[in-house]
Amino acid sequence: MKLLFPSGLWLFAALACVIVIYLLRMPRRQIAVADLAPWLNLARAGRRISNERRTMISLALQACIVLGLIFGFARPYFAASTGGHCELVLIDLSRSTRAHDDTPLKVLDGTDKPSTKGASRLDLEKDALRSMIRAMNTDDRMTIIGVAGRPVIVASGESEPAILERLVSDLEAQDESAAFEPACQLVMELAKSEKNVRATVICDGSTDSKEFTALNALPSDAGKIRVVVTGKNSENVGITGFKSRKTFNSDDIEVSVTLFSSASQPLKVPVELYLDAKPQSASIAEIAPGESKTLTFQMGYRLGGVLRARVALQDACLEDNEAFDYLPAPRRTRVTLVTKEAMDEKIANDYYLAKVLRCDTAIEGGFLPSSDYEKIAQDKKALKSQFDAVIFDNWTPTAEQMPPCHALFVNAESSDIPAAVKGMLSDRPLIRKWDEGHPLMNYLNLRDVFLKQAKQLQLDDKSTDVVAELVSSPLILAREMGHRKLAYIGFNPADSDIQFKKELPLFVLNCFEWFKRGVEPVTQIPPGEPMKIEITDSTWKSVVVFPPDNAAPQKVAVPEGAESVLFYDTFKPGIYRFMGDAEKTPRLGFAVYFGSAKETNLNVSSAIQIGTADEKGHIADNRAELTAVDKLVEHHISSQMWIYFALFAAGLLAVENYLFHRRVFF
Amino acid sequence: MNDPRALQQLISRFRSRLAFGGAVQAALKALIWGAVAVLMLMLILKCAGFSKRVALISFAAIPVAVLAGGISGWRRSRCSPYSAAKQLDKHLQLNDRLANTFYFLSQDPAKRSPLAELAIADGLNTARNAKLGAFTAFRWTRRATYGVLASLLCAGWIFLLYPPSVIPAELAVAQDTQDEMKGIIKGLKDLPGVSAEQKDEIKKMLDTLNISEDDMNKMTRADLMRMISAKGIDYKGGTGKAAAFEAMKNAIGELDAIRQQRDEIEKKNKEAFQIQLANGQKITGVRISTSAPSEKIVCERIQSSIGIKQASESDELEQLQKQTALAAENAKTMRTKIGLKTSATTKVDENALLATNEKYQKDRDDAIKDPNSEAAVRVKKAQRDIIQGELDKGDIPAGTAEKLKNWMRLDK
Repeated sequence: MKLLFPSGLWLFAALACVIVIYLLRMPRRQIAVADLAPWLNLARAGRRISNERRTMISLALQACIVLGLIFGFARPYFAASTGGHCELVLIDLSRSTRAHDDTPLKVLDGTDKPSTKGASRLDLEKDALRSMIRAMNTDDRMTIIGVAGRPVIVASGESEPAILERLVSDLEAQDESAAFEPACQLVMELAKSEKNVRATVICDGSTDSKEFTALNALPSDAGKIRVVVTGKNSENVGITGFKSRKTFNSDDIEVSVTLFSSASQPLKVPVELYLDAKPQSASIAEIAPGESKTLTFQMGYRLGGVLRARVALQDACLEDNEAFDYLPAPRRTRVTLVTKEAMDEKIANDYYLAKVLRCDTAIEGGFLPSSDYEKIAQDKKALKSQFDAVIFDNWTPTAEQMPPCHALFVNAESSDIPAAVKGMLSDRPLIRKWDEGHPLMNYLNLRDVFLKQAKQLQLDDKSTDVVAELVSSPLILAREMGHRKLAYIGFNPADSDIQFKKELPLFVLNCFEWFKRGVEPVTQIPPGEPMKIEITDSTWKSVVVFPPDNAAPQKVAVPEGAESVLFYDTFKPGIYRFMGDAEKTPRLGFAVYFGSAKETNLNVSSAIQIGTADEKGHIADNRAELTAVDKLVEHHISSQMWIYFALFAAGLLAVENYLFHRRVFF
Repeated sequence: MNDPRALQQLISRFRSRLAFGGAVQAALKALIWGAVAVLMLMLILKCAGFSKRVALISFAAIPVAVLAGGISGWRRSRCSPYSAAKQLDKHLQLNDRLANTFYFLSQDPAKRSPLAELAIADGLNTARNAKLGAFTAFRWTRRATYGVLASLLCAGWIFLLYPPSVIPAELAVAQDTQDEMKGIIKGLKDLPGVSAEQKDEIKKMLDTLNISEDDMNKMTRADLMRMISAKGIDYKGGTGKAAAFEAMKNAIGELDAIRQQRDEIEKKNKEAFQIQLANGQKITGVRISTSAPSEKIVCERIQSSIGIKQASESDELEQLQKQTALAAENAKTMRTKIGLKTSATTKVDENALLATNEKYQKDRDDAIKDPNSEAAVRVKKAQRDIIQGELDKGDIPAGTAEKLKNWMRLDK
């Protein structure tokens, strides 16, 4: 059961009045008398009115009480105008309406929690709208359009105040910017089919007049457009941009935090960065009024989790003091080193190529001799699933045994690299040229590399890049085949001093960086934008998405063979985690984050102007009329007249009670 | 026989007990006023925005009240010897025998009546045999109970007004991190090969930092980082070594992550490298153990941010560096000659080759033949020094530099 007038429950207070009156007459007045009879006679004699008349008066009083209640319930009023209005109301529901303008600015230390002071801008907007609703005549109708990222019709031509009030109570600010332009166009469309239209804009004031231009086309009989501004200039600093990304050619993460200040004075703002609630870094940004500033934090990409930036301030809008991004756990590339001969654990780990793999924490290394590799290669499923990349050192398998993943061929030829070996260059060949722009050559200087011998190659294939070359032959080659990336070295590093130089580890590590390179996964979207979830496991029949704040999980069915699915319910900012139906805990996720300098700027713009602009852009006849909240109510007294009837009834009840229920105890 | 000292001693003892008891009782009675004063003072101080430390001073009101009460009680319970004798008579139920004796004793012995003499003898005899026992003028009153309760309430009141700030574990500066930071700071002071100028710089920096262990325990990690950052900004005006503050700040955040990553990697290193085929056969290879990250990374970053360079290991470094510079110059000249200055690719001319030093050439050839030879050790040392020099320049990103350092450690 729901209540149409929940506020009517205040009338329970009347019950208290009844109880008080009852209690007041409870103790019977005790009068000590010697004998009852003379007093009874005297009392009878003292009655000024007869019993019959007395009953009639009581009846009249009770009838008046009932009449008073009936009139009160009927809510009588005196109409100030003739004919019903069609009220078209635009109410701002953007992020900035969450602001509490009276909140004092304060830097938060340690575990201090911020608090707000006063009513929010949205609460003030709702109060203004409620005043309008209470002032409605019976033949008035109201259409309320909530304005956030998209205009939403909250109430359409509704005349019942109770319903309107309930709808207004349910209004909530959205994490979006207010798009008044389409909302004004919607008003124009609605106004076309209505008579006696009157438009009202209720906003927090941080809007641009240009967005209301469409309202100028309202017919002239609609009169002035009432504009109610609930906001006032307030001190606020917020995060307007937050993004993390992997640094190019490095295992570091770069996190940028953009701040905006609408404070009236320059501020030193503490900004903190957390990973899974653990502080990672903190800094102090000096920011001038009305200015944007971007801070960059650098951190090692060692762990994944929820990245959260926080402005440690108490200010008017607390919602823009935090920002989120999702940092996927770093995935270690499974690299297998394959050589012709078997090696025991110690020798394998001391092998010069293995040492390169060991130095990179982003690599999960393993070693296999060629014989074991050939056994695995017979199982195509294992070949596909067990390796992310393979290094073939001085040995290659047959074309059928090639793994469907990235590969580095060290002094070993493969049909995947179409280069023919013409012979050996054994007279200390000179590296003549290398492509500094190629990802394999980052930070490399091959000038000083000494080779005892190298292979003389002939390359006719144009899809293969020559990354480094000798005077008479290509030396290092690179090729992309679909999703596979292949690299080839035409010499044995063991026959060169490259094994002692930084060039060998850098080259091998560059190979893996290049192998990994691809489209960065989407980890952050704005509210309302659909999220594309990649299906990383073909056995998933559905994807379970866990919205923020422990909301109920949602299931998205995965069509047969689909590589991704779309998740649409992303309106609430926060961290969404997801998993396949076969998994027990969600390993992946994404962040929904809204940041906007427009919404963080809580300064109220100068007066809104709606009208035809001349050549210089001046508006001579401003149709917008800044209206105070109390001016929205045109027949305030008459609309509240029911209270007087109710009070009249209550007064009569008290009188009747005193006159006819006074008891005297002898 | 008629020695009055016994009576005087008895009266004196009784008087002192009266005074003591009265003082204690009055002190206990005053306790409640002290407690009330503490409650009020703390409330006022809290409202005025004073810290907990200042508010704790208000507890002084309790001993002050007790002392004041005790003094006043002591003063109030002081009485004349005659009055004490009267009270003593009442306590010992002697029907004023002692008081009369005391009175008669104060008379001129020559003028005493025989009756008085008899009374004196009796009184003194009684005084000699009188036992005060455990007499005390102090009695525990209800007000004293309330006073004690109110004082206990004060202890709770301070927790209510100033709740202890419990820093959640994930926000606190972990003890391991604190110890590690202390070790790093100590290490900075004792680093070998640091110039006098750098030592002064380090000292100045550490003086600026100056965060006590007590402060560290009270702060969240974010607060500590913020403080270091602020001190770094202030320090900027000095000799421009604020990067060291940034490195220290980042170290606090990174140390935990390093530990966690190391645990994960070490766990993985212990796992067998095994591949299971569809037919159930298991192929076991060799796990290549990843070098787990250590706190040394953080320490090195701080050192490099201060500008402290690793001491070179190789005797051939200087010669190699000269040759490197010469070769680079030659290569540049040749590139300019053949018009490749703006080319995306890099060409090397034969004349620009390095390693013209014969000793190094021999070492290099021997090292390639046997990578475990002494020559190989010399070549590796020289190369490590060159790499270290390049890393010190800062052109290589931190993540890649970290891997190179790992590789150098493994290759030692």
